[in-house]
Amino acid sequence: MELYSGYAVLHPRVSPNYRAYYIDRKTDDWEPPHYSATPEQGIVFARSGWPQFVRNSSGFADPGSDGRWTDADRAQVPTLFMNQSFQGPLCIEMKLQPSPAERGHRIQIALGPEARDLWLSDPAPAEYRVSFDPIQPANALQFRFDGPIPRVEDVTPGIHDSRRLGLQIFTLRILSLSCRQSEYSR
Amino acid sequence: MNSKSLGIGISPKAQTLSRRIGLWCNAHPELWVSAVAFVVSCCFLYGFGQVAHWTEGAQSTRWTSFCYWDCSWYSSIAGNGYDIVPRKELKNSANWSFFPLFPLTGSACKHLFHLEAHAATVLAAKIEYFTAILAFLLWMGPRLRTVNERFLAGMLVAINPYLIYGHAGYSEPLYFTLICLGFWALERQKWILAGLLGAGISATRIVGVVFVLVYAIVFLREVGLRPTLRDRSLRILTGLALCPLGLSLYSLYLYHHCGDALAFLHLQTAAWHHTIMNPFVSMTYSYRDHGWFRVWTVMGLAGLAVSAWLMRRHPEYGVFLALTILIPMSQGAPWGFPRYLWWQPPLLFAIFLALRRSVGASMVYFAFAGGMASFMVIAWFSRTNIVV
Repeated sequence: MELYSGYAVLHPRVSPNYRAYYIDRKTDDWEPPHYSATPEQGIVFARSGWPQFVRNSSGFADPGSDGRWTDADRAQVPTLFMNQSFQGPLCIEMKLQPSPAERGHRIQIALGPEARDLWLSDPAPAEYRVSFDPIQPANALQFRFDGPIPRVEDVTPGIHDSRRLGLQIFTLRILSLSCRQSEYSR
Repeated sequence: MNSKSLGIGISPKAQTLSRRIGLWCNAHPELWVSAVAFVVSCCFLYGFGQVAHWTEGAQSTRWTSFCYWDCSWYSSIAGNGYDIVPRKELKNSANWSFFPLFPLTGSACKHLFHLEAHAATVLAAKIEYFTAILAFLLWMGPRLRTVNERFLAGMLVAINPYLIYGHAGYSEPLYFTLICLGFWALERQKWILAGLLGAGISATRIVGVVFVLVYAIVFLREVGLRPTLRDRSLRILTGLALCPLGLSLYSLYLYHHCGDALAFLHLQTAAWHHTIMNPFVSMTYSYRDHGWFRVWTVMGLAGLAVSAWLMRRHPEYGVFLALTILIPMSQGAPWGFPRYLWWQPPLLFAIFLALRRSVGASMVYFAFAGGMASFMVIAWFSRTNIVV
C-alpha cells in the first residue's frame, strides 16, 4: 500500500495549470482574471488579475492599493509569463519603487536570454526605461536581484513584516520601438 | 448508624443497587472520573459561553455557534465530502488539508442522529472529548494510585487551557484519544493494536505520522532489532508497517479523487503561502513580535523544555512532544500553534508528574489553566483569529 502511494506521489494526474500552481510553484496565479489591454497600454499592477497578453506570474504579492510588491518568499526571481512572444526593438517602461533593502542596488531586467542592468537610485516611485532587441522571440520577463533579499523587519526595526520585498511595481508598458524612438514620438 | 436505627426505610433492592453501583465504581474508576471531568468541562464551557452571550452577543446556547474556523472545513467534509477542484472564492484553497478520520466520525453522527453537518461535527468532537479523558486515564492507569490522582489526571484534560477545541468541532479530541490508546498499547506490547491505532492517528492529522518513531523507539528498547529479525517477529514489523497506513490510504484517495496524492501539502504552500523553514529561525522571528506570536513562541519553548525533561526517563514521549512542536513551528507564522501543544498527551503527562506531589502547585496550575481557558472561550465567540 505504501509502495502504491509512493507511486501516486511521483505521478500526479493533474492539469498543466494545476501542476504549475500547486506542485511546481512556477506561478502564483491560479486561473487569474484577465482584462482587456494591449502591451502598449500596459499592466496596471494595482488591478486584480492581468491583461490578456500576460498568462500568469510568479514572485508577486497580491495587489495593493498602488501596485504589487515582489516577494522573494514566493519566488527568488519574479517573472511575468506572457501569452505572446516579443521580438525586435522594444522599450519597456516601468514605474517602480525599491524597498528599503534594495535602494541603491542593481537589478537585471531579463527578457528571454537578454538582460539589462537597472540601478535603483531613486527611493521614491520613479519611471525607468529599458531597451531590448531580442533576436529570438521571448515570452517571459524577469526581475533578477543582485543578492538575497532580507526581511523587511530585519532592515527596518519596529516594522513587523516578515516578507522579503524587493520592488513595488506600479505600471509596466511594452512598446514596439526602441526607447530613443519612443522619446522622439513623445 | 444504619438505615434501621435512623428509622429510614430503604428497601433491600435499593441497598443492593447502591452496593452494586459502589462496586462498579471501585472496579472502573476511570469511567466515572471521566464522566465527572467531562461534565465539569461542559459546565465550564457553557458558563463562560453564557458570559460571551451577555457581553459579545454570542449565541452560546446553539451548538452550531461553536462551529467556526476549522470546524467549518470539517463539517464541509462531513456534509459534502472532499472538494474535487480548488475553490476560487476561498483564495484557491480546498478542504484537502483536513484529514479524514475526524470528519468521518462527524458524518457518522450526522446519519445516526439526523443532524445537519455543523451540529454533527460538534457532537462528534464532544463525544471524543469524553473518550480523550477516558483514554488518558487508561494510559496513565498504572501511575495513578489514588482517586485524587485520577481526578487530577482527568481534570488536566477537562480544564485544558485550550479546552474550546474539544467542544468546537476540531479533530484534537480524537487525535488525543488515539495517541493515548496508542501509548497504552505500546506499553503493553500489543503491537498490532498499536499499529492500527497508529494508522488511525495518521488518518487524523499529518503530524500523527510521528507515532511511527514512538513505536520504533519502544520496540527497539523492549525487544531489540536483532531478536526481531532473528525471530522474524511478524507482529512487530506488521504493526510498524500499519502506522503510516492512514496517511497512505488518504493519499491514495486524493490521487483518485483529484489527481494529486499530496494535495494536502501542496495546498499549504500554494493557497495558504506557508513556507517551510528552520523552526528555530521561525521562533526567533515570532518572538520579535510583541503580540500573540511571542506568547505562542514562549509556549513552544516551554514545551521543548518539557520534552527535554521527559527524554531522560521517557525518551519516546520526549521525542514525540519535541517533534510535534517543531513540525508546526517550521511553517513560519505560528497560527494555531497552541492547540498543537496543549492537546499533546506527553505534555499533560509531564504536568501530572510535576503536580501530583503538591496540592499548592496544582492550585496554581489550575488557576492559570482556568483563566486561560475562560479567556479563550470568550475570544472564540468574539471571532478573533487568535483562536484559529
